[in-house]
Amino acid sequence: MSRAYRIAVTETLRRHVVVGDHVKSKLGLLDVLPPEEMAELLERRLLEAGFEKGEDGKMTRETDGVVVEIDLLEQTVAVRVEGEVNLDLTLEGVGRSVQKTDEKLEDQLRKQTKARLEEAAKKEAETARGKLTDRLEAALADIRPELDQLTNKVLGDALKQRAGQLGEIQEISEEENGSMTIRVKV
Amino acid sequence: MSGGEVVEVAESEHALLSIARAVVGELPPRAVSSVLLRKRKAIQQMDARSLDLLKQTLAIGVPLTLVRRGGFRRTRHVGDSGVVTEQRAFERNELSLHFGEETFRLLAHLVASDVSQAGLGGSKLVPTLGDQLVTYLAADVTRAVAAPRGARLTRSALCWFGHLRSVARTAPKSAPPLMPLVECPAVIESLSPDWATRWVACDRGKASVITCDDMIALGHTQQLLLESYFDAIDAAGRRDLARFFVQAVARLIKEDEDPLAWAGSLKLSKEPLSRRAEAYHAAATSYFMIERVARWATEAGAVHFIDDDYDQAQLFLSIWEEVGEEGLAVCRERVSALEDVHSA
Repeated sequence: MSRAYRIAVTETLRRHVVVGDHVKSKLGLLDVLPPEEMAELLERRLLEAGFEKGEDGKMTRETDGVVVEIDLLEQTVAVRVEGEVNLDLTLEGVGRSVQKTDEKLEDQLRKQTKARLEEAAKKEAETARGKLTDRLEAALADIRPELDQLTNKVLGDALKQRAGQLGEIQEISEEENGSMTIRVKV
Repeated sequence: MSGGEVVEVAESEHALLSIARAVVGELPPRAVSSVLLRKRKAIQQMDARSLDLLKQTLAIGVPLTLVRRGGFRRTRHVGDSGVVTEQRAFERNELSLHFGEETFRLLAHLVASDVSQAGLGGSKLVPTLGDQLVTYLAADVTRAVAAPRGARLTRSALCWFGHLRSVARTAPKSAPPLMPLVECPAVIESLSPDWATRWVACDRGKASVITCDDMIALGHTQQLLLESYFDAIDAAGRRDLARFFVQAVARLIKEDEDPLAWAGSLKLSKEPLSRRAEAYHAAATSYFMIERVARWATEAGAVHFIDDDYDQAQLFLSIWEEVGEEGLAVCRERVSALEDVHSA
């Protein structure tokens, strides 16, 4: 009776992976004033809301790892979240051979084990990314209404400025629901 | 060959001729289903009489198919001389089709293979416009047994218009050359109603797309095709050939009220937000690609009565009327509705 030898190989994967998620959209501001003037009004309101202006001219704010970035001239907003995963995985591949040492089987086992490691690494990175997506979704639930309010304020500022250009502002009344009435003497 | 003469052909040649007849509409597709599903020894060449029959079938049948599919209609288009006329496609533009070896190879493949396994196959031969037409029509016939697929489909510009979902499954990186197609506008004008219907069906079909990857591939393929097509018709001075797309979008605006329905089947739970947003953007492709046609309409509106291309501009504006500024506003709302779902 021939013996069957147990052939085992061990493979390790150590990797540093950056995972992330993001969304991007337009702010949807009406062009009440020329783009540069709208950008100035937007910048003012964003500074009040805790944003900082970067060297590239974009306004950014980070809260708990969630970064909101606004392009003043393009009037776009991008929200992103990033994280890092340090992968340290070890897997064993086992086979049987009639020989005590079987190079061919070992090679095969190594290939298979490496492939399983890559799958496991991908799965772990995906799990980490999934958690970031959940965080991003939760953050968006707060960011969206905040941006809506902010853009409404910018629009109000722009309307007042425009009204002032048309004539003498007699009266401005703002309702709680966000609507505004401006009386201008032309 | 005189009329009424009975020609004896080999069984495999009969199978090939039957498929050719189904391609040109002389036989219903189901009449050749058993032929398409059966494997046979490959035909390398045909008997001279059989070849004559094949040539006759294609020479008469393909133009007749174009006529039936829309070439019989009197439409206003720009003619070869640049003048706008109201005529049938063949009266206005010359139709010259050459069916090369690729046509024979395609038909031989369909005879030799089980199409449900092998699809339309591939070939290293460069297809003529006539070959592409045969492939387009053959794909319709093979639909009776399986969804069309194969390299022949993806490298034919004409087939992109007719079988976009099948092409999208291969996730192409670029569209095939469109100019050879645009240089034969009689084909485009004849198939225009067909393309409009298929485009509408393709967009409505998005409602059954489940994965973000598939939706993104489909939207991307639509965008690649339209961008190349618009570039080609613009370069040829034939913006009027955008008619099929305008008609398709007009129907979608009128008949499909809920833009979110198109993304209604997407499985999103494990997808990153960025991918979801990309998928929703892909769902909205037709609604944002119409913007280029809208810009052409604006340019047409600025053409004066005394300008040389006034008639062409007026023709374009009449085509654009089916969507118009109101329709454009609806398209923009729908793009926003789809894109705002996964935005900041």
